[in-house]
Parts: sequence; C-alpha cells; structure tokens
Amino acid sequence: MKEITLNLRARAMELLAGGRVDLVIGYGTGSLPEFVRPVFVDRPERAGELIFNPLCAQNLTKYVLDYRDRPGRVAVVVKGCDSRSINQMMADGQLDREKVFLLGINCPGLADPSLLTGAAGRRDWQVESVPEGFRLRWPGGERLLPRDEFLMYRCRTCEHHNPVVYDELLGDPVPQDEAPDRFAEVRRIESLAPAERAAYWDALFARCLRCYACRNACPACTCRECIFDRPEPEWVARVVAPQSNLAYHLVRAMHVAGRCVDCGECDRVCPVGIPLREINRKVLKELAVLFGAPTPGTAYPAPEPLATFSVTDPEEWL
Amino acid sequence: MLFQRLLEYVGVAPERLQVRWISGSEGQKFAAAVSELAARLQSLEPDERLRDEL
Amino acid sequence: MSVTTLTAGVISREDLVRLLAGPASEGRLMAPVRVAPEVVLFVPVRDPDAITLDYVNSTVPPKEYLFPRAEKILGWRGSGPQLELILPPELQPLVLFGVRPCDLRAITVLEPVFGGAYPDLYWRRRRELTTIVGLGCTEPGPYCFCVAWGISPVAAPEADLMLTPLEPPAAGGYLVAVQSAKGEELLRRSGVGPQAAGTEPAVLRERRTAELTARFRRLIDPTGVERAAERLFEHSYWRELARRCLGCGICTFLCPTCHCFNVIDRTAPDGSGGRYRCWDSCLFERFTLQASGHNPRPTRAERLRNRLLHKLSYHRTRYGLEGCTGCGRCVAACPVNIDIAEVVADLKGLMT
Repeated sequence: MKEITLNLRARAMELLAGGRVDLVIGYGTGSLPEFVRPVFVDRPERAGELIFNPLCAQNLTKYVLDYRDRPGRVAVVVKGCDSRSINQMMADGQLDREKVFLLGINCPGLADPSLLTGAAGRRDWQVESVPEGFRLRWPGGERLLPRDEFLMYRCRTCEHHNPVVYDELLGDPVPQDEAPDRFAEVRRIESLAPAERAAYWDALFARCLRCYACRNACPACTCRECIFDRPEPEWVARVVAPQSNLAYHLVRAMHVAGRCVDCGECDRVCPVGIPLREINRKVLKELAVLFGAPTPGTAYPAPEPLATFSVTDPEEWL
Repeated sequence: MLFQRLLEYVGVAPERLQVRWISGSEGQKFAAAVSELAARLQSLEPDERLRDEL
Repeated sequence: MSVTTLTAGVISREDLVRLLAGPASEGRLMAPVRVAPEVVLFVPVRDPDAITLDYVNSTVPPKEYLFPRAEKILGWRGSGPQLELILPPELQPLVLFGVRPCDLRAITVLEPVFGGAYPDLYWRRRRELTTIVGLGCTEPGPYCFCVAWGISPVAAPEADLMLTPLEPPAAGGYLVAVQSAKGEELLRRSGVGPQAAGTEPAVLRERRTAELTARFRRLIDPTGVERAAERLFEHSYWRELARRCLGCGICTFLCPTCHCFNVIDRTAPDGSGGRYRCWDSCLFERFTLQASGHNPRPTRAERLRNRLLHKLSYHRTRYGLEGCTGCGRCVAACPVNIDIAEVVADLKGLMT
C-alpha cells in the first residue's frame, strides 16, 4: 500500500501542476495514529499530504458536490464502494462526468482501528496493507495480522474491491472473491417476531440524537433543501422523540431507496452506534428480490429499479 | 410495496399501509378505500409507535 | 483543590451498591450502562449490578438530565377565552450516578447560561431535584485532556457526593466526599457509613491526580488560545478546516457544555398543542437563518469558526469560564477528525 501512496502523490502532483484539476480530494493523516481525515490538496507542493492506508474508510465523493458548480475539475480518491457513488450521482443528474477525475484505488479491505490497538497493546501504531494481511508497526515492534480477523466491519461484505468507474487505477487489481451474504443481518432481523423486531429498532432509535450525520455523510442525500430541515410544513417532527426518530429513519431510507449504493457511511458516522446500514440494506434486498436490481452505482448507465417501468414489475397492491 | 416491507421490518403491521391510485374525480372510490382502511385498522392492535405526540 | 467537604471517608464496592439500591428500586437512579460494544449511556437503572463501571465516559454526556434533548415545557387546549394551559407534570427527584469530573465541571460552565441573569426554570428545577454522585477517573481515555483546563480527573466540587476510586474498579474501594446537603441526605438514607480514610483525603486526591496526569496521552497547553477570537477571526484557517466538516450536530450534541436550543411549537388540527425545548446545533445550516432570509453565518466556515471560538474564547470572555472541559467526546466521534485539541495547537501556532 506504500506504493499506492507514492503513486497517488505523484499523480496528484502531475494533475495539479499540469492544470488538469484544481483540487485533489483524498485522505491524509489524522491528529492521532488511529485517525485519517479528508484533505483538499490545491497545490502540487501539498501532494505529500495524500496517503492511502487501511484506515481510509470515509466516502469522499460527497465533497465533490461542494465543487461541482465551480469552474474546473476536481480529482477524488475512490475505493470500490465509493466509486459506486459517482455512478449514482451521474444517474441522479447530480454530476457531470467531466467535472471529476477519479483516482481509483484497488482496496483489499480496511482494518478496524480498535482491533489494531488491541493487537499492538498500545496506541502509537501504524498500519499498512500487504498481500499477506495487515502489517502493524509500533516503536520497537511489529506484527503481521491476518486480514479477515482484523477487517473493518463494513468490509466483510465487500462487493467491489476494485473501482467500477475511474480515470486511473492506483494499485493492482484485487481478486473479487464471493463475499458472504450481504443481507445476513437483514435476514436475521426479518426472522424475529414482529414484537421483537419492534423492540429491537425502538431501543436503537431511542438513542438517536437527530444529529443528521447519517444524512450529511450520505452521498445519495443531495437535496438542496432537505425535507427534514423544513419547519413548515413539518413533515417529520423535529423534536427528538421515539416516534419522530422512527419516522425520520424510515423516510430517509425511502428517499434514498434505489439510490443508496451501500457504502456504509451512515453506519460509520453514527455517534451512538445505530446499525443504520441494516435499514438501507433491507431496501436493497427488497429491490434485488422484487426487481432483480444489482446494487445501485454498479454500472452507469443502468436501469434504475424505482425509476423504470416494466410490464413485468410486481404489482402486489393494485 | 417497498415501504410496506420496510414497515414490517421495523415491526409495524404492514396492513396499516394502504396505497391506491385514485383520481380527484373518483370521489366514491376514495371514500370506499378510506372506509376499508378504517375498518381494517379497527381490527388491528393499537400501535402508538408512529403516533405524533403533542 | 478548594472543595467544600462536609465529611469524607472510605466506602467499599458493596457499600456503593447499598448507596444506590434505594434510588434504583424507586426507579430514580440514572447510571451508566454499556448498551453496545462502544456505546455507554446514562439510563434508568433498576438493579445497581447492571451499572457499568468499566468505562472511560458515556457516549452522550449526562447534561441531558439537567438539559434534556427534548422536553415539553407547556401544553395547551382550546383557544381564545377557552384556552387552557397545561403545565408539564412535576419532575421527580433523581440520583445521577457516575458523572466524571469533566462533566461535573461542565455544570459550572453552564450555570451562568441557565442560572445567570435570566434563570431557566427547567434547569433550576432539575438541578434542585437531582442528586449527583460524581465518579473520579481511574484511567485517562485516549482523547481526554481535562487537565489542560485545570480540571482534576479524580474529583470535582459540583457533585453532591464525590467518589474517587482508590484502586481500579475491580478491587473496589472509594474515597467519598460529601459536598452538599443533598449528598449527605443520600448517604444518610442509604445507611452507608464511610470508614475513616487512612490518609488525608486531600492528600490522596492530589496523589491520584498527579498519577493520572502523567498518563494522559496528549499534553495540551491552551494558554493564550482565547486571543484567537480577536487575532485570527478573518484567517483562512477556518475555511480550510471547514472543507471537511459535514455540518452535522455530533460535536454539539455530545459536548457537555454545548447548550444551544430551539423552542418549537407544535399544534394539532384541533388547536391543541405543545411547546418543546430541544437541542439545536450552531453547525446546522439554518441555525442563524433570519426571518428576512439573511444568514449571518452562511457557510460551514463561519459556523465552525463560531463553535470553536465559543469553546476556546467567547465563553471565557463572557463568563470567565473555559468553554471546553476536555472530555474528548467530539474528538472520538467527529467523522472527519476535526480535533479541538489540535485546533488549540494550530491556533496558538498561527498567533506566534
């Protein structure tokens, strides 16, 4: 993965120096070893800030929307999961392909920082991906960790190790093995009795603070004026309460239905650990079952299940 | 359809949702649909989870 | 440490259970419980054994027992001459156990806001009715920096009863300081009698403070950072920092000193309704949106600058109290690694 970082910096420097892009949006080191952060490299001299390592989880494509109305182009670093968002943004009419230069990363999977801290027994570690797994290093020691035991939760059901859309690929293609059933947790919840299902979700939504991090981080949430910000009419009560929390999450799931690319950001950002992905995945599962739809963003152009009519569509309710 | 499944997933009885395609000029059809839903709701367990508390 | 201590002594782990058993059985105990691998919350606890003691701090600060995330402050029915106001039900006394020194200091930080020139009835009533049992820390968390603000991790004066663990939780044993009449009442009712402490409590606390301070991961020196409000207001630093900010409410909602709120009236078709006071975030786009349509903080840069300067400067200028208590929650939870401790260092660096 060190090579990816070096390639990335070299390419970024060239693109900026050559005026092909005005900005490179990528990952940089965070304030502490277990953090990475988005960096916005606007000059070739700053290309050294860019990195890629197994902590680079965030989907950076959301930031592209901040720059699409400005002249020029931006480059953005995308993993396989993130690249689906670009396709979906194009399908939604939110992005012109020429506005963005995609630096694609072949990603074998990210590492869970808390598991790494456990493995090192201390916090001042560094990690990189190697073919055999994760190499964890700290002052005076190192360990080689098997990838599947230290994989970040969201990567366990990876559909696309390799970007589905890109202008350049940094790194070698990663073989796409059959991932475990992405909908296993959804099926588990479905198998509960209705009262248990209700109790399960009620306990989770009771924690919801309505911080809107899930919405703000989501690349599918692109409305210029979000329905939940609208005080009149107040579609969903803004006052935090179990009922309005439930309504908020159901409505948001429906608003992104068919456009959610299953990147897992909503889950990652939630400060109180609500497994939001399992709501969006329920929708994804139903789309697969009802319309045979693949994960949105897998290809562009692609027929959108909820925006396409076919005479063979199931019609249960008519 | 999708929403009905989502409601069921979070433990809300899917029978509580009714979706109909009714034109503004089909008054009788509208009245019939609402009456049918009201009757159906009477037979279900009360559910406060989506009630808007004031 | 200037603490008004009425009595002090040592209690055992079993004593602690007895101390809380009464309020627990009466449904009046709020204590930390680990509800998910990385999530600890203050919740109603009926069985003291369900309390989590193996935690650094809760995910959501206990400010919500003095300043709830949503509370109905008024209801009404009818209209015109038939208008009937419905006051909220009388609050019940509570025991809030397990509040760390950073969150205890936050109460002092919030007092001038809610208890100053315009006393807030709801805060006042909750403070009167809540008996706070503080719990000193045994280990600094990875993002903690309370000591940077002159807060001791082992004890704080805001608690009615202050417990300082003498050993790590497994071995049990707490120094208990009674710091108010309410604390004395709780102790008396429980029948727990503290044993005399072997060493002077103040000495014990100082020793523990020194031990723990040495184990903090980062040493932050915020001296002088408050000048950033004056000297760096127009600096491009804020715009650069805000590029990655998502504009969510995580930092504000998890912060023990953030206190902005919204008052929302909700009306049913029949005219009845309620008035609610709930948490708001200065990072939300519409926070300063005026009726005219003008927004004096139009972009994330202005909003982020406002929040950080409030924490690092404005609160101190206005009230003589540091706005941040170094609990580290915002550092842990920010999805894009905006780190207030790093901001302190950045700002100081820009001012040299």
